[in-house]
Order: sequence, then structure tokens, then C-alpha cells
Amino acid sequence: MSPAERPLSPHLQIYRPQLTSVLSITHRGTGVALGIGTIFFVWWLSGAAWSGACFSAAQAFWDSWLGKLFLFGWTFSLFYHLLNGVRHLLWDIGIGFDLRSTYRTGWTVVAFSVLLTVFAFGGGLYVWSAL
Amino acid sequence: MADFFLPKNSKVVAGRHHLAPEGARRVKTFRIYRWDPEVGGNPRLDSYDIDLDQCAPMVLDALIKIKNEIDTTLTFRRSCREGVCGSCAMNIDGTNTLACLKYTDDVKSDVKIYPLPHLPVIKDLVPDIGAIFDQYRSIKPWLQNDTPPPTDSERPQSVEERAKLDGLWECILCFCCSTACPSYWWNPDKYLGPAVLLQAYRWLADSRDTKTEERLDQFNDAFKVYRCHTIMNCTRTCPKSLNPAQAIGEIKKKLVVRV
Amino acid sequence: MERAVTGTGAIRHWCAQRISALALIALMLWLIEAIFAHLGEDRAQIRTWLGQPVPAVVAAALVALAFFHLALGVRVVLEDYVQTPARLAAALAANRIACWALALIALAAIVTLAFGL
Repeated sequence: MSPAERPLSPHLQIYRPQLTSVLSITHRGTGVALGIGTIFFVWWLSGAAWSGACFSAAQAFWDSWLGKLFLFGWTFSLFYHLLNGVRHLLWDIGIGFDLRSTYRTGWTVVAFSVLLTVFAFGGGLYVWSAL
Repeated sequence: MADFFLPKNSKVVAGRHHLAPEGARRVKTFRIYRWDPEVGGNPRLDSYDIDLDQCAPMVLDALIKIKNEIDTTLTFRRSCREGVCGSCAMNIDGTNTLACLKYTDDVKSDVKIYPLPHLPVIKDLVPDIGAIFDQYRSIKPWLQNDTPPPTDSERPQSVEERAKLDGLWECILCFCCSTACPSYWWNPDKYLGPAVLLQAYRWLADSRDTKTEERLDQFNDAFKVYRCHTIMNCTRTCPKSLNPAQAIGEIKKKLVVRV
Repeated sequence: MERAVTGTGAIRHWCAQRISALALIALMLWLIEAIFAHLGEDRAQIRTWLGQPVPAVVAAALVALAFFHLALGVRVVLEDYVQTPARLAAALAANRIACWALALIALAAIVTLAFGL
């Protein structure tokens, strides 16, 4: 009897999510989210340049609930990708590779990106509604 | 696309449950990945209830107890039982480590044990690591120096030069790090992975080796080194507390200054 | 076509990603400030703002670098996950075209606004 075809051992299914891998995939996710966000930014900018109707439609989208939800996501994505990007740049020049620093800078990025998102988005909403 | 999901033949199904003997007082359940090439079919997760009062403290002790007393067909690699041989590397409680260095009591719930992730399984907890050894061979893990050594001694090294190898020579090639790296999961054929790259850096950092440029030349490639995205799972999981991510960072630094 | 992934291309790609990131840190701080300063402005006000030379130049730099950085980043993601060579080539080409198209539209819009065309 010939042996059966070897199975592949489980990986993503069983590997414990941890700060290292979760922050890494979040960096990638927020980067892609910002990339998608640029489509809306270009839409708005084109409206400002060439078409009043297009500009009004973009502004109306930001005003909608869905638009606000998107804006919230982009605000977080921007702060997170910015702060974690600095963390990556430090690694690239050889700083912060030990596990203690990795965890300390990781939690710092999480805390500050959440705080900045809440402040910026809350502040933005406040200014917006006061207009 | 990268294989984020397991192929059909690799999905793990429920297995047998071996209950603890009568009168067992401190029972812990070990849930262990089983696959036998002579039986085929899908891998299954068998459960073994062990009385910890009758078992030594390490996960490897429990595995040996199961093999000796409950199920002789359970297959796993082990040798030194003190963290220097690297044989008993496996995934315990969701992270890769050496079964001989992992305390059973450190696992709060059932002890889930799988082979090292994303490798072809030979049997039970024994994965095929041949491809990783081929990659290891490709970086020429030996001293290369064309000048003849002194006739009366070994090639001398200053204390400082020797110190640069600390944190590198201790690697036991257990491959916990490489198989903890998602980037290595998706591109195991093209990316060298943390263990092999740490070894590559070990020779780049050696003052006696003169083939630095040739060694770096082979990394001028988008995959061999540059699939490292500093995820840091490697450093997080290394049972010898080494830092493969930092070693890869040092390789990247050496590559940048060449441009 | 995509530059071959061998040779110094891979190292240059890695460096370009880092250098553009460094520049984008400053440009993003400018963007955050600008968003707050111009929140809720109507089209005429935005046109006046981007009609000035300094905001127009900075905005153009931001657009160019952001899409450059995005194209490099998405390329790495595609190389990670798309394994079939033909599909990877198609995906890399699509990424390049999309980033170029969006960047050129945005730059054209900024030029239009800057010169009040």
C-alpha cells in the first residue's frame, strides 16, 4: 500500500493571535484602507476642480452616516499607519527589536492611534456641527 | 492565492477520547494532532486525560507518558529533553516552542498540540522539514576563507569580533521561528524564513569569513530576504530567546549600504 | 512592464518605500492641519485655498508621494499573496495603472485649481 498524500499542518487556524502579528496585519489593512480612501479623495478633488455637482455629491457623502463611518475608519487608519510606520522606520535603522521594546512600542501605537482618532474625529464632528 | 485555508485532506476532524484512570485527582486534557500515512484520511484531534500527579512537569513528559502507557502509536521527535537539540519543536497552546521546555502548568486550558505549522506532515507531530534544510544548505552555512589559516593555531578572533556572534551561534535549528512566520507560510519556496536568515547573518557577522559580498549578492531578490515584514512572530516564539528579526534587520542594513 | 524583481530592484524598492514614508510623515501632519482648517468649506472657498501657490505645491507633493508609496505597498501585498506568475503579473500591472491614473487625475485637478483654469 502506498502512503496517503501528506496533509498540510494547520497554521492560521491554530496559531495564537498576538500583538506582534495583529499589529502587523493591521498595518497592512490600514494601508489598503487608506489606498481605497484615495479614490474618494480624488472624487472630491476632481469636483473642486471641474464640477460643482460632483463636489456637492462628495460633500453630501461625507455628511451621510455611511460617509461618517468611512471617515472614522480612515481617521483611525491614518493615525495607526502613521504611528506604526514610525515604529517600522525605527526597526529599519535597528532600534527597538528586543521583545520588550516591541511590545512597549506596540501598545503605545495602539493607545495613541485610538486616542488621536477619538480626539480628531470628535473634534471634527464638533467643528462640523457648529458650522 | 496564498493558501489561507487548509486543503480538504488537511482539515482536522474530532478524534478519540482516552479518559483518565479511576482515582485521578489532577486531570489535564491533552488534545493532540494525529495523522497516520498508512491509514490516510483526514488528520484528527485525539484527547488524552492525564493525571498530572502521575506525570513529570513538561509537555514532553506528558507526550512520553502517553506513548508509554496509553497509545504507543503516538509519534513525535525528541532527543535531549533539555532544549539543546531542537527535535521536539511543535505548536503547543497556539505558539511554537520546544515541548521539553514548556511547563504543562503554564497552559491554562486544555493543552492543544499540533505539528509545526504549514508543513507537510509525515506522521502525527512529525513534519517534513527537508525543504527548510535545503534552504539552509543554500546559504552555505560554513566558514569561507580563501587565505590559508595560520599553521600553528586556529584563525584568531578578538574578543569583540567573537562577541558579535553571541545571540547567533546559540540557534539550534528547531525552526519554531520560521514556521511561526505568516510570511513564510505564504512563500515557503521563495522566502528563506527567519531561521535560515539568522544563520546567514551568523556567517556575515563572522570576522573570519571573507565571502561577505558573495553572501550578500544572493539576497538581491524581492523574496529571499524582503518577504520579512518585521511581523516579529519569530522573535516572540524563539525558545532560545534569540532575535531572528533583528538578524534580518542587520542583513537589510548591510544590503542598503551597497546600493 | 514591471522591473525585474532581481538585481538591485528589490533593495531600491525597499529604500523607496522608507524614504517616501519619511516624507509622508511631514505631509500627513500638513494634511491633518489642512482638513481641520478647511472643514465644511464650500467649493468656492476650497478653490480659493488651492488657488494659492504654497497649498497647491504641497498638495501636489502629497498626492505624488502618497500614490508612489501606495503603489509600492500594494505591490508587496500582491507579491505576498498572489502565487501564479501570470496572475501576479496582471495584478501588478493593474496596481500600477490604477495608482498612475488616480495620481494623474489628482495632479491635473490640483493644476487646474492652482492656475484657476
